[in-house]
Amino acid sequence: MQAGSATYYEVLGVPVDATPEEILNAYREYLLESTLSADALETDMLDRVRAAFDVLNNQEARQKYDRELASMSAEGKGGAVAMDALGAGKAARFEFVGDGAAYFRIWIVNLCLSILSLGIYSAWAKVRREQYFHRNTLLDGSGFDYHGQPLAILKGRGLALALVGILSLTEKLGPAPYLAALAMLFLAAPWLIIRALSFRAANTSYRGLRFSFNASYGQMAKLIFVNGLLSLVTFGLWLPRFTRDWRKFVVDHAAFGSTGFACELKVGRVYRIYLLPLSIACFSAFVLGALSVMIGESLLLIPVGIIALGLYFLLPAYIAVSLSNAVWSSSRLGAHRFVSEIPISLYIRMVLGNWLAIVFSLGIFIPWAQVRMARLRTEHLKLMADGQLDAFIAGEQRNVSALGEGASDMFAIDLAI
Amino acid sequence: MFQVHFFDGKTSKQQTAQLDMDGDELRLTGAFGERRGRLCDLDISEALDSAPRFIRFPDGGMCEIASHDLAEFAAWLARHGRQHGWVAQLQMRWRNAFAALLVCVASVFAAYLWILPAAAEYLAPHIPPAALQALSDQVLEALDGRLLAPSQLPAQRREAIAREFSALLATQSGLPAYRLHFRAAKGIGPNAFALPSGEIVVFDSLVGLAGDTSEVLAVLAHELGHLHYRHGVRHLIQSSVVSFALGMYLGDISSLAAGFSTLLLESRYSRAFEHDADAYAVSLLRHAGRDPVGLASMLAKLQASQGGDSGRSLLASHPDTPSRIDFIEASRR
Repeated sequence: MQAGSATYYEVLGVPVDATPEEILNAYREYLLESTLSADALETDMLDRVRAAFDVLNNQEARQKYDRELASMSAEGKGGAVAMDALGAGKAARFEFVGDGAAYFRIWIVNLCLSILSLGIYSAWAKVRREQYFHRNTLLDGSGFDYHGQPLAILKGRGLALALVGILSLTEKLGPAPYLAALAMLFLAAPWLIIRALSFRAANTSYRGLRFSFNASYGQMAKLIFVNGLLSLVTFGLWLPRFTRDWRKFVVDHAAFGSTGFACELKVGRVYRIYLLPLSIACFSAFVLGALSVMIGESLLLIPVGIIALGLYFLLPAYIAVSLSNAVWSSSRLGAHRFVSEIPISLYIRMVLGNWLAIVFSLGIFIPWAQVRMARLRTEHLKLMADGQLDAFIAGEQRNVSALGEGASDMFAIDLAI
Repeated sequence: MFQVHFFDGKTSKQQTAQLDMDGDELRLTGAFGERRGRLCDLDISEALDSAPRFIRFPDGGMCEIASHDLAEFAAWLARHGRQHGWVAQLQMRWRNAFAALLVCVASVFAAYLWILPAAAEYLAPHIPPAALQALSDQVLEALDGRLLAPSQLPAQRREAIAREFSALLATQSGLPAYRLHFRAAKGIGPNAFALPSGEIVVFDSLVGLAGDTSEVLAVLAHELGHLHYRHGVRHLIQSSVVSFALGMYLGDISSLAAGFSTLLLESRYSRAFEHDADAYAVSLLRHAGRDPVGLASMLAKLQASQGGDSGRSLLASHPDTPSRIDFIEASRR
């Protein structure tokens, strides 16, 4: 990529001795250009422009950058030192260093404190769980971190609980207030989802930089309402498209520091993922139907039950792991690409094994199951780094309320990508 | 002194740094210069087994202590007067984990066996009657639409039952308020039930199954027992708490597992309630100078009409019929 080896000055098209005004003007021109014609600038390019501006617009950062630039050209590397041009592409490994036994101790102590405090401590327990899984996930040797505050989460949960209380109260008042309250909740849903995603992202960090999630109410409302409606009127045929749009949206609106994520997941790939499980479900329904006509229904009750139970676990697991691989492998952060290659059969066996072990241990196995799953997911994920991971730049930090997070806990919305 | 990785919070650039103490201040030195802070003021992340630990400085800079240095780092912190937090200490030892497991199991058992039933019993009289009325009306309305139809019994028969029941109660005081409703049931066997507001619903088929009015009265006395103890509301409170707790615990794994265990756990409460209502009916009937044998014979007939399965299973919501009959017979002597 040509732009990858350009300096920040070249990216903005200004001379090395440009004044702050000149830099600001050049940046404004780029932004104007990009808003006038949506495709004129790739999002990739826009990220570079933004990153370049962030550095050159800051007196201190610019001086530091100038020094780096000077030392680079002195070392004979051609003077090219943009954010990700420090080396050839190499795979940065994700690894998960936690283990089930250690997490069991943390889990049971926090569960115990949550029970004894009648649930209040569960906010602290949640933070510890997130911290455990974030900090034990290493990329290129550095850990992720989680910064959610227990009190904020507790407050968010309290507010969400109050919302549910109001909702059930209006139900007692009659159908009109109840429907009005439901409509309000419906309209608030996009906002709550954005809050939840933002809270998660803003409280995750790597190498001292925070992630972020930015989307407007209108964008989110359009995504879920239009796709939801289309899925309804097409009797679900639109669902894979909805899934793809949703996953792409979540990735596209996320950023690490000032560098944006992008997802190029193809619609066809998602439809192909859904095709196999749907055909299996239809085929087995057809075969069993035919058999039941031939040899009578009562004989088939047990085999049908077993097959249905099997499909109930296997198909969602198949879809989840295939989608996860597809989404990650089509995503990138700036110029760094992700590759996820979780072996499908291994994943399905693990889901099944975890489920059985949890049921037969009355839940004691939960921490081991979560750790095994985290390790499987993490260790089959790679970042094909375009140069070093040293050159990301902080974005602006904002405080995000935990109401959305509380609501997603309450309504058990799964917002994972 | 430790070798650590420093990040300045502005870029993701990793820099090596040395961590040591200078007086009562922690000092971090490297190519970036120096960061320092008093140990008691700094944000040092809690020890979580082998996860890296972080020291965060007020200016947004932070350093990361790698896994292989953790033990030494913790000992070093302790030497300078900063111990692990109490939860972190609890999380470290197996002994504590097993104690926590025992406390969890014990408190869940205690909550299930005593605390929740006691709390429901305490709360039940405090639920506003208007709410109970609205709830019961809703239930009866919903049932009337689908499963229940107006009674086909002659009006005189219904009046006779109502009259005899109030005559039976005339000698007693402190009875719960009740209203009798007769309904024909579509597709369900002979039965009677009480709603929290005091509505007692009797199916035509139950009246038909009974040999004489005294057997019907025995069943009504049993339902009055449910009202007396407010079993309806208590069941509502208990089952919503149980299903909420199980949903939290198992919901992530499978809603199927959560739903099944809810059913399993609730049935124990229901069996206790049925037993209490039987005892109430027996004492009510004896007080009125009647023989409670009507309840026993009615139970036997109900069981026979349902195909003879005594339902001696964990899932049965009523105690198995033979033991209920034995209890009634025993109380007659």
